Amino acid sequence: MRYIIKRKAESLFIYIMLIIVILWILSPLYFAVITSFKRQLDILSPSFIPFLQFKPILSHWKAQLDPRGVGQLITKGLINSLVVASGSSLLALTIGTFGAYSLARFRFKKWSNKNISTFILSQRLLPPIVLILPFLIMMQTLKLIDSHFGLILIHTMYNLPLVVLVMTDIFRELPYEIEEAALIDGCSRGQIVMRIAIPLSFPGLIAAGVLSFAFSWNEFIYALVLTYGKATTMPVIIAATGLAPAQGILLQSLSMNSIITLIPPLVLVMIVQKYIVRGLTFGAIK
Amino acid sequence: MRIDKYYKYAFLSPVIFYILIFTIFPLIFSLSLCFFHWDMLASITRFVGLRNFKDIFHDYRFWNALRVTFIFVGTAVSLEFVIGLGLALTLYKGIRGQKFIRTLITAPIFIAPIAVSLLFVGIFYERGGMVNTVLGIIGLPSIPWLSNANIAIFSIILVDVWQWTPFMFLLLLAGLQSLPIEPFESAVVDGASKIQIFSYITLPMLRPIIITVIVLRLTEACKIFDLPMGLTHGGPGISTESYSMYTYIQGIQNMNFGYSAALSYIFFVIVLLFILPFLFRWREEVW
Repeated sequence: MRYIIKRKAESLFIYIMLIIVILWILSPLYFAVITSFKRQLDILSPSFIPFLQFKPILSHWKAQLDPRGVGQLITKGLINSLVVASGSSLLALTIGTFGAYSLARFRFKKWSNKNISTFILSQRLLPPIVLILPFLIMMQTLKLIDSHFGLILIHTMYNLPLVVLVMTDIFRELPYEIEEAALIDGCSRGQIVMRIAIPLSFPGLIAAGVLSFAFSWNEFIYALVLTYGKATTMPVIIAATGLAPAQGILLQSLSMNSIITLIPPLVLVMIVQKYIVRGLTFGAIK
Repeated sequence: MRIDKYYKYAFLSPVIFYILIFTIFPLIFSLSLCFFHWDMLASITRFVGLRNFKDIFHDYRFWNALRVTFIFVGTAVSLEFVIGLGLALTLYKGIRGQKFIRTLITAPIFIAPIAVSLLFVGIFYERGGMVNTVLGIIGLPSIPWLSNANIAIFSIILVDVWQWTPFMFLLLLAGLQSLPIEPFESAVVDGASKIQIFSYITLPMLRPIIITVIVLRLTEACKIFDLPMGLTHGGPGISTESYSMYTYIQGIQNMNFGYSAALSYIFFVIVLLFILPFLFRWREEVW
């Protein structure tokens, strides 16, 4: 009897912890949502329950999405973000997957596979700030400043380590017999990658791609420095509307933009839920 | 097979070339920049040898940026790890609706950090912001989250903890759930106490995962830029100016390219020296 009470107390404790954690995580998001519906005079007042403590209005959302006004900026930002994020994740996936296959299936003698992987992972150690100036000058020389392609190239650099490491891990787990059989039948290595390795590891590929997409989507510092009008991505627009007190409606704009910017990566992540942990740890945890 | 050798290098070389062009080459270029005084605005470029480094050594703002960054990295990552591990240990026994909770919990990770920082400015407002209102309801006084030089840095740490503890929690949880159950069963049979099980079985078996998440989080935390930029823009004064921010200000705002390059290179070396031991442990444990 005492044992059952102890078990029930444990479960209760767990559920309480869970609720605390969920409240803790969700409160700022809740704050963003209700702020986007507040009238200007309610902004700084401590009111958190709609209809009871403040009157919610839709006009901010309508103004934000109005294609004739601010909506244009938002649309442009979303399209730019989409182009850059998809471009860099696709490029990273292409280059990285082949490299990963090589690391997974072949043995390197001069520089062991382990060292090559560590070298590739160490690219992530590089603080972006270290490369800001060289990149600025490089892009200016190549006339790629404020262009989608330029930003894609830079973001790919940061997505490559993730793709290579995750895919190497996945390829190493594929049973080699299938590829052996294909080799005996006369398949070239390239065909093996395209027709066997990639289709078999598709979910992992998608996870790596989604994580690269999410990183590129949220990236701020390079976008800030390397774009100024044509190719500006959402994070820069969020910063611009959040920091510049345009017409005094800045908290609402900020909240709305943040929510809009949050949705695509979150939706994508929900789709690849199962493989997210593997992707986030670069393959260390299965 | 000879043909295999061709494929071996052919497949890997795009990756290596990409890294060479976009990391190694810019790094070398950045290194050369360190030895020049290049003022974009006045269009002066002249070789000054090690003078940039000498100036940095006497620059109080440099030392402050180092201090701010290391306080941030040390505190934030430790807190995230401890809380994440604690949560993982409490909740690993499987909860109903696990998938839904997992999606929910990953949400903070995928909001753009700059958006998070700007939102938290509103949450941390002294009068009327969410936190101080709740404190008021409990009866505690309002805290000047962002306007007090000593508290501001902890506010930034708090925001980072908010955003990244789910990351730690998720990964440690996955790690815990992937551990085989036999060692634990036999330990219980042998009469080990909970603390003994934790220190002698759980922790050692989790080591590869712990190293991985700590390396990942440390490297990201050192680079911190979005959070101080949005929350306090380095203020009040320069009490929350992270190293990346200071380098950015010198390079992009003051257009002092040579000095900024020198700053960033010193940082690169420091970060490398700091994280390389962890990276090598990672290589041994995980690969």
